Amino acid sequence: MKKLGGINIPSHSGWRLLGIITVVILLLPIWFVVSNSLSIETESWQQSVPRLLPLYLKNTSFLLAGICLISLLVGVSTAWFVTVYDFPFRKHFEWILILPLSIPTFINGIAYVGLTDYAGPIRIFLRSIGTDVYLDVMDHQGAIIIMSLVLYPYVYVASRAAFIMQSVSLIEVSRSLGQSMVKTFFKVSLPLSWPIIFSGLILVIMEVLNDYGVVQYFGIPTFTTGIFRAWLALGDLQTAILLSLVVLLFVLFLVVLDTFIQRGRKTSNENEDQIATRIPFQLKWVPFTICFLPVFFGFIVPVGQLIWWSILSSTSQVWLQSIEFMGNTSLLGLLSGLVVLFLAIVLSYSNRLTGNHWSSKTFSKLSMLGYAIPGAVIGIGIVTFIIWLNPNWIYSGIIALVFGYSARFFAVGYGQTDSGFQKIPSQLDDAASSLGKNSLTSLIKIHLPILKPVLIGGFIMVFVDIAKELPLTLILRPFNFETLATNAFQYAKDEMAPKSASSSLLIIFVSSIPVYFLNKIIK
Amino acid sequence: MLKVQHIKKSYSTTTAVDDVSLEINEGEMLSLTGESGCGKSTLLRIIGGLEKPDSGSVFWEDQNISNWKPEKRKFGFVFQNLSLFPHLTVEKNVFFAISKENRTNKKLNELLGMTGMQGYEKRYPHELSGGQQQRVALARALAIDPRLLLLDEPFSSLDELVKEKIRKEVFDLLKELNITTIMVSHQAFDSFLMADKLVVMKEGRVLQTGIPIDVYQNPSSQYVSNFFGASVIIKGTNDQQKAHTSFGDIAIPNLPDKFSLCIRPENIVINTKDDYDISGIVKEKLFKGPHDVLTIQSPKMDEEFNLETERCSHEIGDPIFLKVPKDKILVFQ
Repeated sequence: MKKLGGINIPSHSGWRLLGIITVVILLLPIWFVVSNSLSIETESWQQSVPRLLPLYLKNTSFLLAGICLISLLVGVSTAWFVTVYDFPFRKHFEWILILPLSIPTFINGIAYVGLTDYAGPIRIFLRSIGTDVYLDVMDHQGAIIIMSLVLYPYVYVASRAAFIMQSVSLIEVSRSLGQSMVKTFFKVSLPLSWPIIFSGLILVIMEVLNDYGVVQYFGIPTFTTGIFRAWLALGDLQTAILLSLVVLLFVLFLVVLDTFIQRGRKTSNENEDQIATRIPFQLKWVPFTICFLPVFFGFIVPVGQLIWWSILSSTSQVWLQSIEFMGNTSLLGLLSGLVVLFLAIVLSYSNRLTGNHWSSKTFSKLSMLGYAIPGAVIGIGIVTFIIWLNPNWIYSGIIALVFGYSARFFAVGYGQTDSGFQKIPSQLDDAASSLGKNSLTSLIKIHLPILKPVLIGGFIMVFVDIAKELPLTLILRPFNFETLATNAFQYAKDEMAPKSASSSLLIIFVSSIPVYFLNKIIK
Repeated sequence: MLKVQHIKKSYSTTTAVDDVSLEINEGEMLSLTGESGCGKSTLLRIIGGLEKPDSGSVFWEDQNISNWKPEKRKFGFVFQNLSLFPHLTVEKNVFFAISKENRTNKKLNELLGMTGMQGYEKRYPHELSGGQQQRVALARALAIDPRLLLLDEPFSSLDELVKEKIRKEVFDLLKELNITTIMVSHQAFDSFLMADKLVVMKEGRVLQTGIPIDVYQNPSSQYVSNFFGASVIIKGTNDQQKAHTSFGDIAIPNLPDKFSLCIRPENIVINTKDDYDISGIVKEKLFKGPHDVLTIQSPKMDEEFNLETERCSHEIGDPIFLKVPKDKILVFQ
């Protein structure tokens, strides 16, 4: 180490080591999928690939294409109207449009199936007026619409942030040059916002890849159901790993693609002037309707159906059970949330102390990869890891689950923590060390108290993601251990959907909390 | 050509434009000026159709265009913040509103030639300097053959050094093309260079309209006078239709009972002790490049005042004798 006036600059090698260990732990599940896929015998390749891959590929890409298209249409158009135009209830729509995000895809699927089946309110009503129609939402198109209805908010939030950031004078210049608002949108606003909108779209794609509930319930074979079938039903770990690898490669491709698109991003270099006066829309109920429909079908209808069910099936036993599952969910959320925060603090602080070394930057990016990877893939990775440790161990358990959740949702907590750390001026660290405090003391006495609100926010977001998680939980949960999500899914699968309503409603209630944070972040 | 009548516009708590009427003729350059927040930008935005007035009308050749959308007006707009489209090259920015078949090389060369930007066709805005961006923004506005050009603080984001040069070039070009222009500027002297008409606004109202030199020499109020530079206030009382001051009476026709007198510092002459109106002491002396600035205290004046002079031999503490030409004294009600 260099000597500066006789003072040793601390190398913080201990912190650096801790940071590296953190990243290694988080990447273990992914590493086990990749490394094990190398050792798969060719026989297995030849058997499973030609048989399964085309079908999974076809279904998954069909779902992805449809959901991306609808999410883009709904998310971008609502964001455009809410940001640029003035119409009734505009201000409220800003956050109401995010609400459908609080409904996990599989719960929306359950609700819509219930809504349209024989005992559902639509057909009861039709029969009461002397007619009946057979409605079936349990096919590809149904899955596309049902998932789009709760996933479009990712695109909405991204688009809205992009439109807000855009300098309003660009729109005004375009109009003064004789371009209508429609032309301005396509020639100026959309091309400029596209990179940000695309990162929202990537989240949609990852949610679709992650989804197990809807496709399993609707009987659509995709990669995720394939992984499940291979492992849980057939005990064929090799095929499961193989399928996971395909998904992993696709996700990696998306991450690389996103990096390229973000690099091409053109920003205006002036101080951005945000939209102050919104343009009154002449037919003011048109934008109102465009914004209201997704909220109606993506939130009000499914929640209404769930409430109706929960009234129908309301017994003290159902609620007592739900409270027990709530306890299980909370236990997992609490443990994993704390683990994520602990690891996030270690990694952020280690990066802060050891400076902007390229290795630490790359490392922390890698640690966030888990968020992009479907829960089923992480689940298989952990199973493989545990079997590698000791083939006789039971791979499912609370510890395995907490590990899985932490690996998958680390990015959520880390993103919050790290941006919080970056807002603390480094002079504070220097001041502390000049007063003779060592790095651990200043972390506990200075950084953590300052970061408290950020840490709480990060914790809540991780907690909510865990409450909504299904596939990872299904693979790694201990025998007979039910969370709200697994309970809701199990009842629906067993044709007892009304009984799942109370658990579903509890998940939606908990998940609505971060909507508040999200809306604050984009402002 | 363009007529603005009784325009009013207020936001929740403040009145931005309060009953403003004005007119501009073909080929004229009108400059709207005033302190920030005086409503000049809002007025420009109303003319451009980007803002709707609460009441009042905008006429173009006797046609009421108050309800026209901005895209229909064909008024070119150049903004303060150099709002080039960051995702388009210079060429595509300039041709933004031009249909494919009219995008000829001749037209591009003409527009870039006028603005001195030839050779930059393929550059992106972030590769250009502020001055260059402003030239492209102007070329883009001129590309649509605007019926009226609206410039909103077009030079304020440029460096002092570049500003002078570009301002001159732009004004020369607009005169040459005979384009009717309305320009908003909060810097009084931006307006003087070439504007045919100057409109001074305060708190949403028009205080004075006229040829720039007239407004400067004969400001209608103390406020306008101060806006174009410091003025030295002289105490005086009405003494039988003469302004009675500490250095003699000044005959002023139609002198009202209550009035204030002032003189621009550049009109005060340093003289000898044999012939002077005011005597005082140099309190401070500041070296300011080509000239000196003296702060003078005089028993005949209420406040100390600054005098810009050529390099002078007066030092701090020296007595100084000043001559005040009576015909240069400004009278305000």
